[in-house]
Amino acid sequence: MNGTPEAEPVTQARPAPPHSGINWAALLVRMLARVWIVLLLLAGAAFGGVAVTQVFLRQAELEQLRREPGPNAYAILAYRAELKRQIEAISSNRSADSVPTPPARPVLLEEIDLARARNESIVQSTRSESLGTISAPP
Amino acid sequence: MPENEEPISGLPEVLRDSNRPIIIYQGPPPGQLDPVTSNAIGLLAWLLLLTVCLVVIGIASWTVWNPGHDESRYSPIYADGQPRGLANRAEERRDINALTSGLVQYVERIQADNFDRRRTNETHALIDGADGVDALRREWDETCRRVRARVYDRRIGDLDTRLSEARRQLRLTEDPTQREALDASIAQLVLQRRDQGERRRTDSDPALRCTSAASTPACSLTSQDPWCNPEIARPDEFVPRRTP
Repeated sequence: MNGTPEAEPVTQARPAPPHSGINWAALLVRMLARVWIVLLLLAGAAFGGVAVTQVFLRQAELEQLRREPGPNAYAILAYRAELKRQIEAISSNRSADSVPTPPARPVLLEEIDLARARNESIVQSTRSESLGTISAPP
Repeated sequence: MPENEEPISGLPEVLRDSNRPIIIYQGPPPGQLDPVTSNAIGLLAWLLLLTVCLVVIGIASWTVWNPGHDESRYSPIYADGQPRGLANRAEERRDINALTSGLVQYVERIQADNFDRRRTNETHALIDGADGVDALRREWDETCRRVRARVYDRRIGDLDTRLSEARRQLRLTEDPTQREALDASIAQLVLQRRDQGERRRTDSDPALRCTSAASTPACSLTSQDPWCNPEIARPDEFVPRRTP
């Protein structure tokens, strides 16, 4: 393009088309369509971001909730649910020819049962001791 | 400018007067799409991006708010199985935590009362509440007794049916041999009926003896039941504690 001598200058050119003016309606519609799509895209990206954030927040919340309680306490709740389920199943089965077997007790529940039984026996022995003290001759 | 040349509209005066070659391309440059195709592809690209955004929103919303339940996954709260949506699973876990909170402290306080040799006043809704384990164990025992009574009723009912049928045949039969056999059969059935009645009254049939739910043995360490070793049955339900 730096004025090479081999290049020949243009001698014939088509005349420019007559000036037709600006089509304002077409320009406005085109602008509106572009703005619309851009807004849709921005809204989609924003809502998409919020939605993905919600997923991660819920996962983090669930993990936090799963830190407590431990499996021992969970087992007692599961045992209660199993008792409920068995009661419903046994009640609906009218043709059973044998008695059902209860579910095994979770370890923590056995510990609770033992502690309560021990407390009951302590209370009874304390009561009988005090009754003995009262009824004993001086 | 020569007079036989028409002026080229749109070109700057400097360029026209420079006597340099002027090349005017008709249409798009080589390798570039025409404006209509290019615009259409641009529009499709925008729509594709928008669709990706909508799909991401849909998947994320479904992951969080899915109302369904997974029947194959056990839930101590919902009979239909574990919820699918993260929000409902968090809600389920919140309920579990609320119901089981303070359980370990409860047993520790009873043990402390035992140590001090005093009557315990400790209660826990999950154990001795209206819908607690104690009430359900009593209900379970009652259900077992009803099943036992139903089995005895059925057995005695069968014997009564056979007995009445034998007596009816005895009334119709004239043959002494058959009457003798029927008499023996009736005597046998009467004995069986009496035996079943006695077993029922004294609960002496080991196969039909209800075991109290409160006196069953504790879970074994290897049991796969969720109420025995949930950390084995449901390993993803528990987050291991961080050791300091």
